[in-house]
Amino acid sequence: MSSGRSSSSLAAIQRDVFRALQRGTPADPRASRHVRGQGRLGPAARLRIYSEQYPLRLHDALYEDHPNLVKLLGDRKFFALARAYGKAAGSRHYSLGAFGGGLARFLSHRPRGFARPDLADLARFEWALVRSFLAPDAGAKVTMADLAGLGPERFPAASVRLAPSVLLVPLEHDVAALVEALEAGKPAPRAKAERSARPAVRIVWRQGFEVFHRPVEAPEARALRRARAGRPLAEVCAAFRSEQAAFSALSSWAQEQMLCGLQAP
Amino acid sequence: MLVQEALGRQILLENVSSYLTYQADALTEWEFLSEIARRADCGILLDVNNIYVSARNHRFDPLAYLDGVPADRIGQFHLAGHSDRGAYLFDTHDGPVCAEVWKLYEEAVRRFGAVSTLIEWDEGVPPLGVLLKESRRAAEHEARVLHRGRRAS
Repeated sequence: MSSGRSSSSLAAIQRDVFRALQRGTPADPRASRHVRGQGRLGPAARLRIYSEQYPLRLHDALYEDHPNLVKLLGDRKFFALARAYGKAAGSRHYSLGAFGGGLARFLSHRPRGFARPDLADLARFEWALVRSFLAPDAGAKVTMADLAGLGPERFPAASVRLAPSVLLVPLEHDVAALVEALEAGKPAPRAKAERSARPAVRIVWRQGFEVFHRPVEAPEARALRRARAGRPLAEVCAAFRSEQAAFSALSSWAQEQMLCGLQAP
Repeated sequence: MLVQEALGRQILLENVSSYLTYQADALTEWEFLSEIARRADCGILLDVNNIYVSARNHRFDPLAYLDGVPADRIGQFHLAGHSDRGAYLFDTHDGPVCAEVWKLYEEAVRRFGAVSTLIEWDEGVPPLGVLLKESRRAAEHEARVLHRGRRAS
């Protein structure tokens, strides 16, 4: 076994070895020069073990993050999808957990063999659950008592932030019904070929270590976008048809721990 | 530290099975693992099968690994089966623990005492009775070492 120390930097080793694994070229001398080994288990043979495993690990990451897409397609077809997506998109982030970030877009191009029109939406929805779960904590939550404490004079110009785990997911197909069927072990409903003229929006958020989701109507979605943009609460509330509706939404958001970062004039 | 703070408890870091080392390596794996555990103030989950697999693949003495990790940080042992692929061993968790790994497990128990032990068998999972038998075997190996230790003292 060779024991000579190479003077390669860590960055160079990572770059060269990653390239060989990603391209499936374990004999690449730029990678094998960094690796110890001889005889039957020389550098290329050792790199080959990892280059064979690499696409499987990518598949496993996608598999874990998209349980309902797996149920819908079946293991074999999902494996083919992971292969095709891995080839087309590659893993571009140091975290394997980020690999699925482009799957919805990939599916939206209806790649060969994956023509079912709601696949992209399902991937988008499942990815939102993952993102929400992994989003940073919000810090101090804003309660209704905090908002009430502002009083009528300061309330209109005050603003809140949405917790990082709060995501608005536009969906062109009825993914909720699809997920419900798949989770119940029932046959998947047929997907409509036509997209909805106006995408429905689901909100996804996290409380503690649990992720929730529910549909939101257009006024609430508009209000949430305004809140996210840091608009004053008066503008956020104006997205609703009535004061009562605005109050009810703010109460829900506070109770569901979606609000943080209260800024009061 | 952040993970441990969020969970409110110490985590255990597990040693891997590996098939490759670098020309530029400055530390052995056990030195690296021990240093990470020390800096993070976390424990170590010692996978005895992984030590054996890596020792064969990289031709090091597995006892040196056991001697090189801090006894006070070992929080659990893992045992598993592996596959012999001719030029190397591959960690597959698909069969019984082999005789050499049982022997190494006894060495681990001798050094670190009665530590919680888990049999990993997640591919080609056999009937429960086979798994329970494997688990009982671990207990028997542990008891043999600890009993022998008590008699010696």
